[in-house]
Parts: sequence; C-alpha cells; structure tokens
Amino acid sequence: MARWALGRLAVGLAAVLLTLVALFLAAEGMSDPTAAVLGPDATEAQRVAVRAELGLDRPLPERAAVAALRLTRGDFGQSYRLGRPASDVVASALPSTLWLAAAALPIALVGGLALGFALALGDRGRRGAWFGLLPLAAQGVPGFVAAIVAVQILAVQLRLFPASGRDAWVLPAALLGLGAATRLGLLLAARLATLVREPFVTAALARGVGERAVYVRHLMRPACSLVVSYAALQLGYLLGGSLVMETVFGYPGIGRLAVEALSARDLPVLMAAAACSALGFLALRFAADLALLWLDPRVRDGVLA
Amino acid sequence: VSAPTPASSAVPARLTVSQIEETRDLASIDPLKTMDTPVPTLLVFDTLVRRTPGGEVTPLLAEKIERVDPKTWRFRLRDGVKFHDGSPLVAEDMAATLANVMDPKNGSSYVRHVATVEKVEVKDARTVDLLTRVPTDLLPAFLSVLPIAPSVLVKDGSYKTKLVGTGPYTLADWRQGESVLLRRNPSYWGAAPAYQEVLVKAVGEPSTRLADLLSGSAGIAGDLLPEHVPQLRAKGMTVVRESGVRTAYIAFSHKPPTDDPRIRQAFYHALDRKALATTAFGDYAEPAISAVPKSFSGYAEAFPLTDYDPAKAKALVQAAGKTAPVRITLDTTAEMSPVAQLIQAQARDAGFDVQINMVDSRATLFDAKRLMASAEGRAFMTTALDNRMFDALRPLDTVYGANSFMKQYGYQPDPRNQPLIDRYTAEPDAQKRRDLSLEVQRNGKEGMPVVWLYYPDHLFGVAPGVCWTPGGLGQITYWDVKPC
Repeated sequence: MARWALGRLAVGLAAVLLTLVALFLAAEGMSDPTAAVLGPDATEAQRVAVRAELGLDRPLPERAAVAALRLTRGDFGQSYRLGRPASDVVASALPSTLWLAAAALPIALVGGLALGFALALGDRGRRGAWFGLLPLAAQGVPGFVAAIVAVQILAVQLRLFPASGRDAWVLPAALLGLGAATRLGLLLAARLATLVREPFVTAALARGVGERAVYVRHLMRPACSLVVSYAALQLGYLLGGSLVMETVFGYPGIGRLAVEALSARDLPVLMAAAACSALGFLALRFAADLALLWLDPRVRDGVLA
Repeated sequence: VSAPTPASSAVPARLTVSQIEETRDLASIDPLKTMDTPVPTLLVFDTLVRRTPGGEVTPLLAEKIERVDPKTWRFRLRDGVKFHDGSPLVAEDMAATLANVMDPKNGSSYVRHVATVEKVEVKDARTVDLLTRVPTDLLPAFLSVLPIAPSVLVKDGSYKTKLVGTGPYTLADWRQGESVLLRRNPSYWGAAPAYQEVLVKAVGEPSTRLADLLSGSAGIAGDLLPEHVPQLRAKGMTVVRESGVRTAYIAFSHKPPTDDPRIRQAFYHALDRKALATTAFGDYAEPAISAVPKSFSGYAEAFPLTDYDPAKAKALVQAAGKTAPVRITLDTTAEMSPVAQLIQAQARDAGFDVQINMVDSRATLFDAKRLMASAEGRAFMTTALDNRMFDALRPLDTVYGANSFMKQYGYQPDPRNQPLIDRYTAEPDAQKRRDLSLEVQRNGKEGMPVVWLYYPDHLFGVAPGVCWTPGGLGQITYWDVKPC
C-alpha cells in the first residue's frame, strides 16, 4: 500500500517536472519577452538593457542551471512583466480560482447524482425518452453561449447579478456547476445502466428487493466510485482555471493569468501557474484514488494483490 | 480646498468604470513604465502641465515655465503641494522622475517624450532646468503625460507598486488583473474631486463592458464597439466619441518578397483605406492620410486617399520582377480579423494572394525572432502606437528615424530622415514643422516600412446621472467627470 502510494507520488512529481522542462524549452523557441515587457516600439537600447536585466542575454545552459537551482527552493523567479516573484503572482490569483471551484463543485455533484439516477430510473416510456434528450441537448451548448445568454438575461435585463468582476462569481459558478452536472449525470446514467445487469443486482431483484431500493442501497456505492473519479478530474480542471468563464465574466483567476502570461511570454509566471495547476490536479487524483480504494472492493483487491 | 462632499443619495459616492484600454490587463500599475495605461496613474499623480482640448499647454504642478535660452527650459514648481504621504513636492522629485524614465534600463515608454533632454539640473528647491540636445518648443507639451513621483520612492524602486502622488485620488486598492479603487484625496491642492471613490475595472470582453453599463453596475463603459451604439442610445445612455490616439497599421519584415520596396509600395496602393475604415467601423474611424490624425500637430497629407490604385499596384509588382499573384502572409490578432479579410479581398484585385495568419497576442505579432526566423517576408497588422504626444514626432521618430523600431525587422531607415526629424523638433514655426513632417513622410513612403491604415475612435457609454465633457485626449479625463 505504501509502495503503491510512493509510486504514485513519484510518477506525479516526474510529470510536473517534465511539464516545467517542456515549458522552459518551448519558451526558447517562441519568444522574445521584451516586446511584451517594453511594448512593441521600444528603442534597441531599451531592449538590450532589459534583456540584460532579465538575464536573457546569458547562454541557454546557464539560464537552465539558474532556473533549476531556484526551483529546488520552490522559487520560479521574478515575473518578467511584473517585477515580483512569479509564485506571489500565482498565489494572489489562486483564492478566486479555488472559490469558483468550491462553489461549482456541490452544484456539479448534487446535480449530477440527481440527474444520473433520474435518467436511469426514468429510462422507460415516452416521457423518459424525451427527458433523456434534454441533457444531451444542453451538453451541446458551448459554455460561452450559455454565459452570454445568462449575462443578458440575469445581469442586464433582470439586474439580479453583477456582470463582471470578483463579485460576479455566482453566475460562472452556477454555469460551471450545471455544465459539470450534466456531463456527470449522463456518465452516471450510462454506468448505472451497465451496473443493473451485474449478477448482484439480479440476485437482489430475485430476493424481491424493490427496484428503487436496489438503486439506492446496492448501486449507490459502486456508482459513487465514478462520481469521485469524475469530481477529482473536474476539480482538477477547475484548478487550472476556467478560461471561458473568467473571460466572459472578467473574473480574475489562474486561467486568465496563465493565458496572459503566455501572451506576454512571461515564462516564470507561466511555469508557476502550470506547476500550481499540475500539483493540484495530482493531489486531487491521489485523493480520489484513495477514496476509490475504500469505495470499490475490486480496486482494493487489485492494489493489495 | 473645500471640505469633502458628504455621500448622499443625490451624489453617488462611487463612480464605476468598466474598460480595458486605459488599464490594459491591470497586471502592472507602475506609473513610470508606460503611458499606455493612464489609469490609475492619471488619478493618483499630477503632471507638470496639462493639455487642453485645443492643444494648448496649461500649468499644473509647474506654475511657470520659461525658456531661459534656446536649449534650456526652466520649470518653477507650485508651492505648497504635498504628496499623499505628507511630504512636500520639491525639485528633486521632478529630477528623480525624469532620471528614471531616461534610464534605458527601466524600459520606460516615456523615453521618447524626453529624448531631447540631455541634462536635468536642480537649481533650487522649486526650480528645475531641462537642457536639451537641440532647441525645441515641443518639450513642455510632451511632459503633459509624465506623472511626477516622490524621489524617495523612485530611488528605492518602491514607486512601482506603492503609488504615492500629489493627485486628486489616492490608491485605496489594487487587485491585480482586475480593478483599482481610488479614494478622494481630502487635502488635494486643486479642484475638489467629484466622487468619494472611483472604481476602474479591467474587463477584456466588449460585451461584458456593455453589460456592466446596461446592468447599472458601471457609470461609464469604455472601449465599446460601433455595433453597440444603437443599443446604448435605445437604453438612454450617452455615447461619447473621442478621436483615437491609436493607429491601425501594417508593417513588413524585410525578407523576400517584402524586402523589395516596390512590393511594399504596391501593397499600399492596393488598399482602399477609406473603404477599410468605413466597412470595419462605420463612421467611427478616420482613414490615415497622414502618419497622425487630422487634429494632431504636424499633420501633413503624405498619403492621399487617391493613392488607392490597383493598376499602379500591379505595375509595381511587375516592375519588381514578380508575377501575380504575389503571395504574402498577413499576421494579425483576432480582433482585427474582419479588417484582415477586407484587406485580403482588396489586395486580390491588385495581384496579391494574402494568407491570413492569426497569432495569439501582440507580443507574438511583434516578435522579431519569430518574424526573422521565417524565410519569407511577412506583413503584420495591429492597432497600437498610442500617440500621447498628439504630434507627428511620435510616428516620425518611432518609424522613420534613426532609432526606428522597424530596424529589428530588417528595415534600413532613410539617412535623410533623422536630420529632418531633428530640424522638426527644433522648428518653432508650426507651418514649417508641417512641411518638414511632410518631407519625412514622403521619404518614408519610398521605403514604406509601414502602411498607415486608419485611426479608430474611442467609444464610451455614459449612464444617466454621470456627466462627462471629453477633454480631447482619447481617454476618460476624470477631472471632467461629474455626477449630474
């Protein structure tokens, strides 16, 4: 068990490290950050001075060594553009991203569970067929369309919510949560449909347990393993920031920060943001794996074997 | 100094502004780095002088400006002005601010505004002499955008985030990438600020800025689009239009085929700038007939609209020994995609096969490494070159002068131009300056490092209850905004 956990950890950290190395090398090919730092029409003297200031005039191996050494102390270096530590820049964007993720998650879980069971139980008759089409249709609506429509109706016409900024978290959280709930509901319904055919369900039904009771008592726990995996993945994505929502609602989060850092060729911030998202993602994945061990005996047997 | 107005229901305590161009992404609030983000700089700091809508210069922190000899400007600072931390404004503050922006290491975009200054001399506690390389009349006007920061903070570097000015508002809060909150300075030396607080939000999406205004959460929305105008009017909002300080243009990297000036000239003659401006912006853009808009000093019509001539373009292509269609890649960013498509269609009639290539950001667009790594010469298009000199010197110096930023893309500036630009800078007579401006632009037209396209207007929506008489600076002049 401990070996399993350590193995997971090592693979995860290696993945983060690889991400950072790849970013560093990709930045070599893509860029001269002085255009973003100085604006496009700076003088040559300014560009030379700023390149020296940022250490960009040093050869690649030297810069890589400096970056690696700093990284061992958890230091990503100074943001090219902002002149303050990249980790501080990311840390200041993190709370709003966490807040949005935390607000969206319960909506996704409760909504997804409800939708999944409703679809599974209602999977019969004409009404059920119609009902089953709704989430499929909803899934086809792009996020930005939903966001713009929500802003038009709820912010502009009804003036119920602010249209932009940090205070405008309710609408993006609801949209992200509902989007995830729809996807989760559909996945869950499909999983339940296969679980129903498992022998232990047939056995329970044969014992005369009612259909609803089978779903609640016998299928909830195995279905939950899917929910946990999905929630971990979804939360992991949310930790990387939801670019569409952050853009439409002018909401300050990691997603926008990373995209802006990319536009500005601000490698230190880009690396700090990537490391933060990747580590968060891995931690969640790890937590989900642990939860699965507890939830699903088949997984536990596999690990312990 | 009047007492602070008590917040009442009649006087809104807070003005909220939803915009993007005056703060850009609010990643940085460094007041001495760039003049392209006038907020929060404009509210927290005062400048030495202010530019009026008519283009005159009126005193602000400098109570008196005199020319003691052709190459020396003497600034006498106002007495009794205090920074927000209580320290008095002295000559040393002005000197330290100028020294900071003149140092290339600091990468300040004000550097071109003070390019003529050779030496800064503190004469006494309230007097500073600026000694210039050439005699120039233009310097005081160019200083109308430079904020004056306290020397202590400038010297220890903390001025970048610790905004201490002499201005009407103090910086109460900065949320990076999001907003700045400004609170009125109760002991401001000048006219009392009209609002208790001003909240300026950086909102990247045009439709979200519009939604902020229409939903009542903002009093002013900036950087709106021409297609928003009917909706603004229908909802009872005032539409304010300011002529632009930004320039839409195409630049070329100098590799085949765009290393040949005839090909660049041909591309210029292939474009109908008036149709571009009208189709893309309706009435809200001025086609570029000069390197500056009509209202700027040094305006001279070097690029008449009659230059649109597809036949001439074809002849130039032929003279360059190329067979039509000449393939040219046009790099641009998403917001200019409709304009790029129009250009593609126009250039087709003149024998060009334009391939549009979208890049993710302006930094990528201008990346010399990227452009020069490509074997083929490329055209790249943007809307930039903010001209807060309100003068032709900005494009003349930046594009056609010896220090042209186009040099990194292989352009060799015309050697005739720098001496002309120096004469332009030194010339006291406005008409003669226009003649010199025309000459530089005509020389530039031969090499054609860039094609000027149009000057888009700035569009603002103003909610009922907010009154703003625009100050002709292409941006929100906060000192003119009042509740009403």
